[in-house]
Amino acid sequence: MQSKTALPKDTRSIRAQAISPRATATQAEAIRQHSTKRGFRWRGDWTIALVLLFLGFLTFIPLIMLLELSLKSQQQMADAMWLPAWPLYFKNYAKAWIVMQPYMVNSLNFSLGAVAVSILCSTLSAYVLARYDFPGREFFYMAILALLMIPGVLTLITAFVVTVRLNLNNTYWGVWLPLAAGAQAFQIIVLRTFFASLPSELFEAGRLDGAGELTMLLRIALPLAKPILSTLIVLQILNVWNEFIWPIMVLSDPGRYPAILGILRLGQLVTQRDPGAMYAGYVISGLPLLLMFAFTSRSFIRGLTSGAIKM
Amino acid sequence: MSAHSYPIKPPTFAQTMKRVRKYWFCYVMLLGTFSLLLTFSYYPALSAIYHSFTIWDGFRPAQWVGLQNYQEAFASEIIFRKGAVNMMLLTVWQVVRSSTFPLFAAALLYRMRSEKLAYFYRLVFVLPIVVPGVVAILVWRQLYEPNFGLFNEILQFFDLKPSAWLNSPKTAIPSLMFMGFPWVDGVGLLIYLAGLLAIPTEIIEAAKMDGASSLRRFFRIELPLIIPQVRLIVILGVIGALQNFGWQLLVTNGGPNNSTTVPAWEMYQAAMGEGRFGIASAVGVVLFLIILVLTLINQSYIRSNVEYQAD
Repeated sequence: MQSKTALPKDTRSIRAQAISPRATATQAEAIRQHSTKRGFRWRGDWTIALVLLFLGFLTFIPLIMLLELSLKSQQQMADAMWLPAWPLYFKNYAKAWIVMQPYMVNSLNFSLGAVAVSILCSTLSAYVLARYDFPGREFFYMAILALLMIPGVLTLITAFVVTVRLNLNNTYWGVWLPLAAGAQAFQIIVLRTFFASLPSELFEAGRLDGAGELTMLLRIALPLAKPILSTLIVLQILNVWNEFIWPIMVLSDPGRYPAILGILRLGQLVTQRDPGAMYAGYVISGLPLLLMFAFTSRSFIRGLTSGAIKM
Repeated sequence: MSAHSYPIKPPTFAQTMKRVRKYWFCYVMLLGTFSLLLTFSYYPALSAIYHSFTIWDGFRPAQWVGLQNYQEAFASEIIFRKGAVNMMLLTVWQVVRSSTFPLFAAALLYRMRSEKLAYFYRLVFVLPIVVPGVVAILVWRQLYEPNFGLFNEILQFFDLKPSAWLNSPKTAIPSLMFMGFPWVDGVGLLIYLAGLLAIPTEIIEAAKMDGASSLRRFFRIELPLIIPQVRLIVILGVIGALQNFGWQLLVTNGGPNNSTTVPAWEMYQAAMGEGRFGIASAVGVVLFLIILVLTLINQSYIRSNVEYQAD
């Protein structure tokens, strides 16, 4: 996979022709055609680029509109709601930030807590399911796989009842634990596959050196799992940050709402004189994800394109 | 893996217990995951199935009523009539939107010769995942706003009749379907691209030498070979669409005049709005069965050859 993508396409085609069973007289003709077409192909790239640029532009229209609205004052909006205006009105962001700050802290808290609980649990489980032949292993793994058949809509209402019965409603645990539970199946399946693919010689060597079971997990398996763990963490932060139905249900105090629910209250809180502040708040609620994406986009894209993460 | 590596004779109870003692730590390491799952997945799932046959307010003892909840749900004008029609429309639409534009964009990206340009476009189409779903919904609500929304301003600019969009029962569902245009979903696109890149280049080169046009190659070679990826994206999209009620919760409340309601929203309303957890559970169970049947059909219909590949 890696070597295939790394090769430029020209060498690929030459290699393909070299091993093709059709290496007959017609091939010379084909190669000639191929090379005369190259100039056209190069231009073909630009046609594709233009079509994609157009698609990309359409995709980004709402986002462009959002950014533009977030930088307009009340007067500028009254003049022409949707047209860009000068000068940019950055005060919206200062205003929105004051309101958004506590909600951003809540969201950060929910994301980190849910990720910590679920990655800890799923790593331990995936590791033993992959590496030890203990009685009942098949049963436990089937129980994990069975989760794929249980959709969120079936458990939503009753999980809420359980959370209230455990007195976890309106607490951080009431958000962390159910969201961590929801991520277990995906994370365990991906991690178990990864741990099972590690050569057992690594662990034999560790055992000979007298390493305990936990040491082997911490010193051998986890360092190797770093790329896959970071992808799982990014995916889960995205999910938790975007989660709003569960927080609406269990958090009765709106002060504890995550950022993406905080923006629903912006309308009442800051729009008296600066309606743009509401849009600025929308932008702010997504900034941490943008920051995370800036640092991880390369591995995220590589992970998805190479088929490493798949359900 | 495990069952076959043992002597053909099943192990005696004493042997099993010996191995349980040897591998005691495995059960400890599974403890975290399974306490989360028992509390927030397995128990709520069983509880939902049981309580769908009862009248229940979530907290006081439930009263067994047999199939009454199901009868009521299916007799209701809204839940499984209007709601189900909308749900089916939105689900079928999800199939269409997740298998057209993202696939088209992936096929174009695959044809790009410049690696740098192709990477740039991947980045462009994945970038929108940093926009929280709620923000996207709220921005589109502003675009649809009847008095000063972007779409009506454009229509008025061209002297066309403005539309009520989400505020009219006639246009509300089409408006929901149009949201997100042009529906290029970054993750889906990357997974399609992964499938395309995994096609052996020899096949494509052979087709090129035979003079197969770009379009013909797509329909005769590429599309059949990435059917597993298409199936994956479509089934995930369908499962999501059947359960989704984000728009209803945040914007439409199922209105106007119940024109945008879906069963999942009615379920949420019945429980959280009216405290009727029994009938909510019944709706949840029906949705669960629909999803289960679709998943099973998907799994048996065409054997999947999408594999987990860890690297």
